[in-house]
Amino acid sequence: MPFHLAPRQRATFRAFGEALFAQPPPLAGPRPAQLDALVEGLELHLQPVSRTQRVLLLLALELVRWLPVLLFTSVGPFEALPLDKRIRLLERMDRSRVTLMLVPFIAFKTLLSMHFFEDEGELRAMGYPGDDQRKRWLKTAA
Amino acid sequence: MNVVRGREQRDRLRLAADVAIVGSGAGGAVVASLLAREGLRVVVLEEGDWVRPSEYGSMRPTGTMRRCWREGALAAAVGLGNTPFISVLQGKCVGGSSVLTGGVCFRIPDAVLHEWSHDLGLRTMTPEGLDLHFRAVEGVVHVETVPDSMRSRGTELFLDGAAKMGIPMKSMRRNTSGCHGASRCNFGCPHGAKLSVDVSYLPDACSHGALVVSDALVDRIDVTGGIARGVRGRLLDAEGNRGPELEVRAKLVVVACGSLHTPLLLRASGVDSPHLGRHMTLHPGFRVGAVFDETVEGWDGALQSVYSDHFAADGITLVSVHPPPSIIAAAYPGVAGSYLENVRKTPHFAMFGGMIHDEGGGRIHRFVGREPLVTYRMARGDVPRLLKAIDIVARMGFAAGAREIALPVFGIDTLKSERELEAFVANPPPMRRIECTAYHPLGSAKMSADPRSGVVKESGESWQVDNLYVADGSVLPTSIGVNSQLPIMGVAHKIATGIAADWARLARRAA
Repeated sequence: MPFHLAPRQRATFRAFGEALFAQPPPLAGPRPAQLDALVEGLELHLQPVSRTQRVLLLLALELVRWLPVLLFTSVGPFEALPLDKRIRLLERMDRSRVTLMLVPFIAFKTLLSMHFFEDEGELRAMGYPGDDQRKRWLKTAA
Repeated sequence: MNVVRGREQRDRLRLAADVAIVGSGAGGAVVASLLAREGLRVVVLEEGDWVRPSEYGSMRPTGTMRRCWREGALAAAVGLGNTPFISVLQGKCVGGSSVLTGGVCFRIPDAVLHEWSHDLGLRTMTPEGLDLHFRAVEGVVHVETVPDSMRSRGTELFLDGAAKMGIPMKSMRRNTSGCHGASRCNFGCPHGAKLSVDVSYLPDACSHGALVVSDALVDRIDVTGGIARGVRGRLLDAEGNRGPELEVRAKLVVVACGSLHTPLLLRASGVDSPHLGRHMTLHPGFRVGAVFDETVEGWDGALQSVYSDHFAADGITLVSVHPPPSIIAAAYPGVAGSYLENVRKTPHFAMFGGMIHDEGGGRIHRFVGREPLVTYRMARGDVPRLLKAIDIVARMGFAAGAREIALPVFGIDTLKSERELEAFVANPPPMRRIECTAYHPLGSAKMSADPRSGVVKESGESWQVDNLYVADGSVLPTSIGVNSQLPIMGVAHKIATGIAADWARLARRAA
């Protein structure tokens, strides 16, 4: 049976992505449609992963979800935090010496980023011209 | 190619063959081709899907990860003690990890073979003994030197830095023909230019009568009277669920499912040795990024084109690398605004990497489900080795004129000067913060000169079970310090040549 993320897992991934790719004003952060696509991509990515690995990843996601409570910064889950607090929490995880905080951050940042930056628009925004416009390929074709 | 897709089978699959090969990667494919050419009936069983090479170009990197990489590229070795958490990347598709390599082809260094033949007593594992096997393999997969014109601008900049530091670099050899410099070899070559075994050895094996079965999970090897008689398992559906039974009766079984799974299959089949699943080496690798004022567009060129063995005596190999932009973006430091600011530097970004010739410390444990638990304790000597390698590459970047260096360390900002680098070197972070990747797990069912020291004989045959051979990276008795694709192929060719030469006796024994 195909694997599906639970609604709460989708919400946590979405909130993680929104914070990870947030931009300071006046720049716009990721669009809701982009975040939806991101969660779809993650769900698809976890499809061929073994049940054991998937359980471990989702446990790590649960840890992220309840980190605000565990760190006494909020009584609600990660996705209920305002954006600026989520960003600060991710920064704290990034610099943490505690493996249980660092490893989930790295795993989800890597996974989300690989999917997010495959979007044609994001690739162009980072300066990648697109496969069909690469100088060497154009030269080879010529 | 003659492929039966297990996911399309509704009924039990029973086959009879001379040789059953478990695994279709660099080892299994070479054995399949050589033995099929000898006129033997060969069946190759692959746990992963058959992705046609024509599909590679249409898949994004994450799509390839889902379809061709084990665990969707999320497998890792758990670091014990002062050891990084190491991402372990393996193929799971027809063609195995050869589909996902950068195509880099090194022979096993002479110094390593000297250790094997002299210190470990593996008399035939010498440069001369392996030469004809390497030559044969190099011909089939078209090993060629990467031309200078295929170097990316990023690689040229790091070369410039290396030259200023007096570090000589050499052009790599890769198994390519007609490379366009797409710089995405790890995700399947979109131009069919990388001659991985799914486009070289396996089609050859099939044209000589071999059959490849994809989505075929082998649970155990049938052993009766101390002789391997075939394999049993299940066909898998598209979601990886166990389906109809699979049984292959054979006179000889070759296990080639890679260093992570070969020990599990052997143990499940009754092979017992204190060395099984131990001594695994990984070649922990890393990448250092450098931001230049000029536009680099490092994606234009071969993924890997040059290397340096200048520090081989220190156990360090330096290699050029530049993965696709979406993969690079995932490695930039920071969160939100600072992260995206780094991402926007991508056109100015060059990258260079390295790996260490590690002393071992990896173990494979049976875990819940099908995948193993891999643990790795970095040897004491490997910690300074890895830090030294990172320091060298970072200095190459500054010497080339980089204005920022991104170290493979989680949670730190880019370095802006050599002084900051010196401060980093003087006070290195715990190894857990180092970002490490391993493409070359080796040695978990090692070859030995006597039954007390390893799992298989020099011929590749199990010390315990007759007509059971292992022909993948797990038999290499130590780390080799270079990319393992060609070494595995060369050793597999040697093992297959031995089987072919001894076939009459082996077949009689199985009768």
